[in-house]
Amino acid sequence: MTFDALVDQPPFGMTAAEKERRLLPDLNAMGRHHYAHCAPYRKIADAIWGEPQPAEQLCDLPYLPVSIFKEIELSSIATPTMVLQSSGTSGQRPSRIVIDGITAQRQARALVATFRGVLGTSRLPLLVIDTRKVISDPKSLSARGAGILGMMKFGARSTFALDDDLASQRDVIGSFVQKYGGAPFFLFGFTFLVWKSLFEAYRDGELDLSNATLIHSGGWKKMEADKVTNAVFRSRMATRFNLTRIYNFYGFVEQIGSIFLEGPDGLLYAPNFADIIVRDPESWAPAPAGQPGVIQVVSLLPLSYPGHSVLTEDLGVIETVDAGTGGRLGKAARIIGRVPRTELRGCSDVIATAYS
Amino acid sequence: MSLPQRTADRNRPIAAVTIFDEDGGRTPCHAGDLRVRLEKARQATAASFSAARVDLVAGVASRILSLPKHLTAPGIVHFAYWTRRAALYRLGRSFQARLPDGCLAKPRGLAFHLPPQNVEAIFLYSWVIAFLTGNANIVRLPSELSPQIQGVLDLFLEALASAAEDSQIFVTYPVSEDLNRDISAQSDVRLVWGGDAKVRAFAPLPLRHGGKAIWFGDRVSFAVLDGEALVGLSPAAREELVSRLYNDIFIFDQMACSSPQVIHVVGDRTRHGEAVARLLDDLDRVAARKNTVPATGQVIRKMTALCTLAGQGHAVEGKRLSNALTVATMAGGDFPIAAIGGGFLQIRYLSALDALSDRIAENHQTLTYFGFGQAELSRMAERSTGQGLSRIVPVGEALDFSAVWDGYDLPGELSRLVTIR
Repeated sequence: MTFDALVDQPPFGMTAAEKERRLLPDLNAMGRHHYAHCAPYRKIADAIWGEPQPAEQLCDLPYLPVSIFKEIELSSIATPTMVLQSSGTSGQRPSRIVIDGITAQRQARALVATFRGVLGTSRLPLLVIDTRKVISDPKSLSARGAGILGMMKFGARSTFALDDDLASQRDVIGSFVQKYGGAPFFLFGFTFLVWKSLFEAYRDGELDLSNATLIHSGGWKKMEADKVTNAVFRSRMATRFNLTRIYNFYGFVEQIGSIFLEGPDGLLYAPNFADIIVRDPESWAPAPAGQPGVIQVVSLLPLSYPGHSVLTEDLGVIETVDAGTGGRLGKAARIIGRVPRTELRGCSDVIATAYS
Repeated sequence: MSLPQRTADRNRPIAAVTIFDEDGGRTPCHAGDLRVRLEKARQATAASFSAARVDLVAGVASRILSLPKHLTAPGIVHFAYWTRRAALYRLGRSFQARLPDGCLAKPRGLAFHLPPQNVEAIFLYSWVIAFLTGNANIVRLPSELSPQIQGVLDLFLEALASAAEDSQIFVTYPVSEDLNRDISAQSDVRLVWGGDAKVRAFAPLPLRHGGKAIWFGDRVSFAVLDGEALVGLSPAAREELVSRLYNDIFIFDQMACSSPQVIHVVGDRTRHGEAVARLLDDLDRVAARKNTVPATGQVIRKMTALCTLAGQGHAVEGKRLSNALTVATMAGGDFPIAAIGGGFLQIRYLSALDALSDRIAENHQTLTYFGFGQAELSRMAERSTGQGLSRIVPVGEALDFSAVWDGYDLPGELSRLVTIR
């Protein structure tokens, strides 16, 4: 299987063209697989683009809009072992992602491949910048919870830094850092929580995280309100905690396990078994590098549900291709934000309470 | 993360309203002063279709029509035509003609208008009919009006001021159940536009002496075309039909209650599919040419809706003609109409026009038609025994407002009858 070969080979080493050549046959096969095993996917294909034909380029693969996972359950397996749910912003239905043993295993291997480069091979002590509450029900996990559970597999002596109200527990953090801070350890959390509940809870120089590696993810929307860009975030973390090994990543629950990790240039790189296409929202044709558009992600991970080619509602831009910065090849992307959700409103006042 | 402060409702000062003045000015008004103004306004009603009020409205209409075309939106031009002097006389005469014998129409008193926040032009019709039937009015508007609508409002405010008419009050105020309750308690009639949820929010608030509540809840609309008539269309006739469909669908982003969401085709897919496809292609081209392309978020929403309908087995064929228009050809069977909007059409084939009567649901409002005669349409409407459907009009007239709306004869609803023998 291509997946096995790709996941074991060092990440970020393939040119965009080489990756396309390696991914395409398997992505075509996945289209046929889901067509055969997921009845709603078959109906969608039959109604819109017809029976699967082998695509000759990555950008010719049909794609599902990501919100379809909020509308209907798409499963290519008889009995799911786990259902993941997106956090579902207020007023929206959450996505439901059906996972079986094999797909879960692939996701786990995928995460190892992605994070091995920054965390090494031994399990480091982990301080989670979140509350234990988000992982309390493993049968129905939020994306946040799933992310944390995934990262906990890389850590040892996982400790939760926040209480149930998402306030920092200074005593817990203090004793964790005292115990493990003399050697490499790592921090994981959602960008906004790292900022609000960790960064803002301390003064400069009060806490020494110089041996830590921070891995963080999550939208920048809330951060933008505070005028915190990625560059500001990095420099302020360095000043406050002497923390410099910081890796942002991009991923979403509908393609969990396919993580785009920040490189030395601050741009995001796809793992070997996944790739990014940016589409021009006027023509939906692939946008050339440098031109912003809507992000599509293709991935070899999802066998249990037809998520191998998904059009997100995120805007991004491919900044460089095969630039080789820090030895990294392939497409390097930057996320711009969400596609604005412009609600069309007619005679009906959507949120009645706002007008009552 | 702190909890919001609890406020003691009882001690909270009652929120003030902002009154729209002539020349675009706005004056804050304390709730107590508003109460006094409304009482005074209620004493200043006029005779039904009084010459003074007809003149005032017709005067504004002719001022709108004299503006350069590019300064006025089609919806506003339509309103101006609708309120031309001759049209108002016709409206008044036909209202008089349908009064019961020996009855005189008098205004109800104070009418409270809650127009929808987005299809702004609705408030003009809602208010004008109440004004013409002699009522005092208070209209709650959104805090931000489009320049077009603000322009029309300014013309009316100016005309009202120079007629020394102060029984017409246009206000805006932030969410306030207190104000909603206070104004309702002073009002003889209340018109709530804006959907079921808004109607529910107002339902518990009593009107003066159990006055009259007029509800405009959530409605969806659709069209029916005769497949056979499409096949034989001349190019000119097709162009005309396409332009009418365009107006029905794309003005107001297909989100007005009367914008068609579904096109029923009487016929079958093998026989008429090609003619339907040609029609839709033309429609898409017109929409693209007129640049009626929704924002990217809505385009993706349409993709999602198409995949959802297909995945559920409801749509058997789905096509994105362009960003402007997405078309889902539906399987047989019955399912609720999804109002996606922004250029999303469902096509459903029907064996006969009469088959439509079984599909009419309570929330259906306007049926636009092409290729059928009045007799067939009446038969279909009579066959339908449910509560749905209140307008059956030719394609191209979906959005044309009429004094009979959603099943209400509005001038009648806004009047009280005095029997004289």
